[in-house]
Amino acid sequence: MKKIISICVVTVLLVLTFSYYTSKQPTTPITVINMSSPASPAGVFAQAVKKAVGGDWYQSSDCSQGYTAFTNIKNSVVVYNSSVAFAALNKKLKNCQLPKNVHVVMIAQTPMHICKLPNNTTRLERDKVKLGMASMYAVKKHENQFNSHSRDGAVQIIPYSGSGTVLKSLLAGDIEWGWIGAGLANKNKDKIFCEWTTDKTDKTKKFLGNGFPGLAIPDFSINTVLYTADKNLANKIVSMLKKSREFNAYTTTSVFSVNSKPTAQDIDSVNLFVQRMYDTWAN
Amino acid sequence: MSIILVTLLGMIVGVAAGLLPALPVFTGPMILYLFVNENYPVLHLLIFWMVSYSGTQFFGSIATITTKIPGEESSAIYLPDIDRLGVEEKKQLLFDTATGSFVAGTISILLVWTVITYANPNIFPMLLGYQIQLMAYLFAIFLLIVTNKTKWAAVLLILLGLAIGPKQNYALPNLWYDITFLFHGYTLYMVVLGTILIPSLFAPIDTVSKVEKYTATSKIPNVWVIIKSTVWGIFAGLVPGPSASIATTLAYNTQKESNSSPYNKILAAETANNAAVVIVAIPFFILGLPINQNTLLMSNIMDIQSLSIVEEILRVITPLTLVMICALALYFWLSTHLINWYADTVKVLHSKMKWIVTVILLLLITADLQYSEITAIRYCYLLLGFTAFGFLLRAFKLSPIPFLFAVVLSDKFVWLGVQTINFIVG
Repeated sequence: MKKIISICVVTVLLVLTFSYYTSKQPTTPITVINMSSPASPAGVFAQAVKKAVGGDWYQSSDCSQGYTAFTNIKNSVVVYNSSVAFAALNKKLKNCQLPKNVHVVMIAQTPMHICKLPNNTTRLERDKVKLGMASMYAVKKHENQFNSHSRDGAVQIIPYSGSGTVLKSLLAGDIEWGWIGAGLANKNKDKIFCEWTTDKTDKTKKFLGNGFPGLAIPDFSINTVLYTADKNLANKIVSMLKKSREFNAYTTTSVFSVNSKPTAQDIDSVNLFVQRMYDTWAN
Repeated sequence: MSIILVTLLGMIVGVAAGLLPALPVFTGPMILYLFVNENYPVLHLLIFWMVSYSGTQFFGSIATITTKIPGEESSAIYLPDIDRLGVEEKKQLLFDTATGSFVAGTISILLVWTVITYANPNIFPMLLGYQIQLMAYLFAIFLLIVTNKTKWAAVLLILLGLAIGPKQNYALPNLWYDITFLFHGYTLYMVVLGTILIPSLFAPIDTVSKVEKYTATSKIPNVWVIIKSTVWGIFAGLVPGPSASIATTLAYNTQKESNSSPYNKILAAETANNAAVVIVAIPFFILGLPINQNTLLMSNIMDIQSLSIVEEILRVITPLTLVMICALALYFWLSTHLINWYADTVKVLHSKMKWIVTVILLLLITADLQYSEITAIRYCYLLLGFTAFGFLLRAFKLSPIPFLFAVVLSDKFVWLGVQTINFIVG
């Protein structure tokens, strides 16, 4: 018994001493908190931010945990994802929406491409096909919208953790079509053929809304918002991201349109987009 | 230069974990957890991991043969045989087990390289298809249950682990979020600490037998025993569970005694476990499927860093193989020299081992607490919960491995389950 008590006492003392010591360290690096799946476009975007600011990484298991980490970690920047915010509303998770009284560093948007293997002859708008997409919006209502105006086609939506896993499954032949972030799709253009897109302005592909008039959100995009608790930190991050050649090259190749001077209206439009998803797809 | 440094650090950890019984064979990946947020290159992580893991098996036999304290758990099987060997036989055995370990390790890493280079998902994309992945995972779970003494308990532990593990899975019902709220903020490190490491501190200490003076004596080892045991080790390395122990048991039990001496049985056991610990990398590297504690922890480290081992491995397999062969050669030299120093170190440190391990665990807990970013109170509450669970398992003599296995694999396995249901029901 004595031994157990002495081990416990030493344990507590050492933990407290070490915690005190580490909490007194003068320099606190920037911590990038990713609330999305690492396999999602927002997750890859968060990695690019992390590299540009040379900071630490915090992968939260869900958005609620991400927000808790944000309140606990000094000098942290959250990479918010509109799709995760929608899923959180749908699953009744707390603290996953854009908080008020934070400083928004930037807003970035990326569309999705809908792709298949080059030798696949199925047609998304006509045939019975399996379409893989991220689990947040791989919901029954979305599937019904795909099929409501289709003549004899039947799209079956299969849920995945993100674009990365959708791509793997597409390459393995499990699904005929994949809903993939534009950046990842472009990177793999030698392996897959992307016939459709959610980007109205992309003239190289068919706009999804034209093939599926029943879709309520054919212009779907992932809205990524970087926010911090500190204005000075927000300015510092903006400056670091602007200076980073690697980050700027990444946003170009990954088809992210970046707004580094977001207005209150821009932030509202992100919230409205989430609300639109909720009104359209929520259970 | 950095690769040499990482290799040397991995070797130091491997030798220490091999010689000292209180340090588990997965000390290497446990240490990697401390640096998981530092973004080290994947090659460095894999070198440290494989080199340290191989070292535990190489040096585990030295502690067992010289002091009769099993440096790692798989050596325990031949513990009663040690007293049947004379000093001269032990000297020869030290050299022969080193030779067997080197041969088995080298053949195995070359086999890993060959398989990864010529049978990877880039060449055969169907390897990542849901049918193959699901079969591999189900087979792994089946073997884990079958090899467990208490099968119903293994099933329950796996179900429990599967319940708390999934992350970012919005295909699961709302109820799942309510259940997992209780475990919100736990880390895998915390689970390992609570269910394995802290309860092991309270296990009784073995006594050190009289330590003689040793020099490894060169002898032509029984080549047939080494080759046969390597094959057993390769087979056992592909079976989910404690690969090294399975390999040791298989090789030990299938090898006959010669001239009423257990010499060849011990040689077979110590050769086989070195093959097994390297071969476990094949399912991990090709399918992303971790099948023992060591690969489970490494898989979690890769997940935290958002790295996909299946995508990364092709880039690093050749340098990793070369480094491993060099490390195995160095281990061979080290394990046939300085033997008395190792034996004396084990003898001196053994009585103080619980204190040494306590200090190491405390440092690791503190680091985990810093990274976990939950409040200290919540951390303590979760750790206490897992520790109580660990003691409960120990009281009922149940292995926590199925639980640990399920916690780490749950994310991938539950995703596979969700997709399979959609494919079938669809």
